Amino acid sequence: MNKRRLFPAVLVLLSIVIFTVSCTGSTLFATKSWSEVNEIGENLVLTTKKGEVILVNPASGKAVGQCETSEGRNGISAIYGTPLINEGFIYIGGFDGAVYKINPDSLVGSREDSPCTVLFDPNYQEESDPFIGGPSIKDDILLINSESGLLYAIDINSGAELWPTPFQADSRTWNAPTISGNTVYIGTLSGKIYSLDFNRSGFSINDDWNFKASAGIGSITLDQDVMFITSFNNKIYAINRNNAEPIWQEPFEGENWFWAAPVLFEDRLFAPSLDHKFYILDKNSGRSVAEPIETGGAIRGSAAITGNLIFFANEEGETWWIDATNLTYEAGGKLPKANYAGVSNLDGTLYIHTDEDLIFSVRADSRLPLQIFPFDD
Amino acid sequence: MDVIGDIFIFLLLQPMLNALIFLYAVLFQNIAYSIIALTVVTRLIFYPLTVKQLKASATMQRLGPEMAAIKEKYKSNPQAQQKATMSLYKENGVSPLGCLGPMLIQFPIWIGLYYAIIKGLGDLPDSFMYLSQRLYSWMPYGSELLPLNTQVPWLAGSLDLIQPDPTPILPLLVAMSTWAQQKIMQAPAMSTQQRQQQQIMLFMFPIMLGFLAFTFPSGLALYWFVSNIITVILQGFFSGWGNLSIIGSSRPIITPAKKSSDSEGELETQEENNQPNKRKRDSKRKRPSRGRSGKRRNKRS
Repeated sequence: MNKRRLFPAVLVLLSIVIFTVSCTGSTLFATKSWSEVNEIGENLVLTTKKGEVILVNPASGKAVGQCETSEGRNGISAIYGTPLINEGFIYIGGFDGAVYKINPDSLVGSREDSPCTVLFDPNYQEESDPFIGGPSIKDDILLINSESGLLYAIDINSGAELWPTPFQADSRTWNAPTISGNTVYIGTLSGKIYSLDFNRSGFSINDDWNFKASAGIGSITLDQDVMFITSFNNKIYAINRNNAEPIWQEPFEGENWFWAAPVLFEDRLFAPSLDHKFYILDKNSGRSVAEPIETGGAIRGSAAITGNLIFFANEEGETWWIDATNLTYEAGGKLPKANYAGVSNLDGTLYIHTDEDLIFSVRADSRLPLQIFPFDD
Repeated sequence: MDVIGDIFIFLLLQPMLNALIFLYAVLFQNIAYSIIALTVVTRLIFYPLTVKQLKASATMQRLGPEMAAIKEKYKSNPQAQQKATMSLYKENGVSPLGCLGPMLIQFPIWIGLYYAIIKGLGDLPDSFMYLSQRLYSWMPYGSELLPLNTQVPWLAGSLDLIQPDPTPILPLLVAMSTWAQQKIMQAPAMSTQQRQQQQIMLFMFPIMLGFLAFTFPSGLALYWFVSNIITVILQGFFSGWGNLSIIGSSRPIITPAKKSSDSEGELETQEENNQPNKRKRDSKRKRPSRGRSGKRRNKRS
């Protein structure tokens, strides 16, 4: 073909490329909400995928203070884990590989770009090892999993690393450690769960305790002696937490991954799935006790329970209410933004963190989500 | 806008994403092998179109002298010139837009692969969430492979294929292979102006793609490099390797023979700067038949 004709044709093609990228980019790169909202004093704490910690007054709908974490691998600043509140402080793990301990009083009135207070920064590797999951605390020991599979024990007062060497898992870890007494359970993306006994001076691996799913662990939920495990292999497991022996005859299987932790109410297990369905199971047998609710969107975040009502939202922002006693359900209001975070129940009020970092509160009586942050005057 | 995005995801991104993960599973869980194999598979799928393009390109090269003759003959009558040119195209079974098809297809594939790499190979929770909704449920491999290992050995260390190559090596390979592709596919110029344009094109694309390779995931740069090499090899087989010659590489400007006796004209080519090559082309030629003759002549040049 004549090159003179080719030149404008190429320009047209490039325009098509740019147009297509811009068209699809909005759906492919939208900022997703991830962490749940927590509460400290009279304020809510919100962590964002931009690496910010924001203190929000739920009555005024205004930010009363905030700080930000630094950049991590590939220039990403993000906080995926839900902020942990312990004895008046906010604890978070950042994508920059640092653990932060924030006094909320110091945040009030602070500027947007104020740095958050670092409690611990391992700096073991040249490239930071992100913390995806949040921390867990037992007494004055903070445990946190890094993405590369390291489990650190940190003194919450001094920020000192307590163990001579951190525990190394076989694969990446994205969840907060699940602590019960002096035992901690670590789920990895290889599907393995570790059981470790720990104290301030070190840990020991319970070698007799073995569990492995064929794909990554979504969540670990403890209910007395039972451990419920959700996995990316589309399955939910129930095992004895003391010896890892299965309790159900077969794990329950859905049609896509189970990421969120299930909610328990009496003998029922309420389990959201990425296959767009919400399952209701008998927690003793693992059998379905009702037709799954078809929601029309993947459900990544956990549900919350208030009274006998269970509330959840899917990625389309559609909300649902289930009466846990008679297993009837109805749709609630639709959130204007997509949702990937779980619902928080804070003193009886439900909160949900949607894309674009909006916070909605939800009332069981009206069943309509109400935007409380940022509050539009 | 969402509809365009959905169509793009359904028709292109999702198949490419799943193919990439399937190939990763069967090719030793090495993502570089997976991308190379995907490139080869993509080129095989579009092989008929590629052949059409290569043939069209070879025929265009062969028709250069005839087109120059038409241009000369109908210098003062553009309409007649266009008519005669179209007639020449028709007679030789080529369409002036024939080369565009495979090029048009390349762009969505680039975009599809770009997204497949950054979304499918990503190791963040967001990428997993995206993958969970895009993996085919009937695929024998899926979530148990995640996260994919995107690191491959590279020079003294390793290269993360979802990140740009921190060294200039891969961008340079992309630029050089793009130059080779442009060069081998280039038709002879019919005027000094066109020749200048060709020279601009010859360097503009390699610079552009080389620059993009600096900023885009190196997995995409790997695709460009392998794809370019395949094109060069195929074009070499179709129309000869002569265009790739760097020594005496100034392309001839095709002009009609001064003593041409008819419109289909016996033609001669004139080198502006390359007299030895001129002598080779000075022999009078009859209009070649379709196919092989074009190949032969290019080999000579």
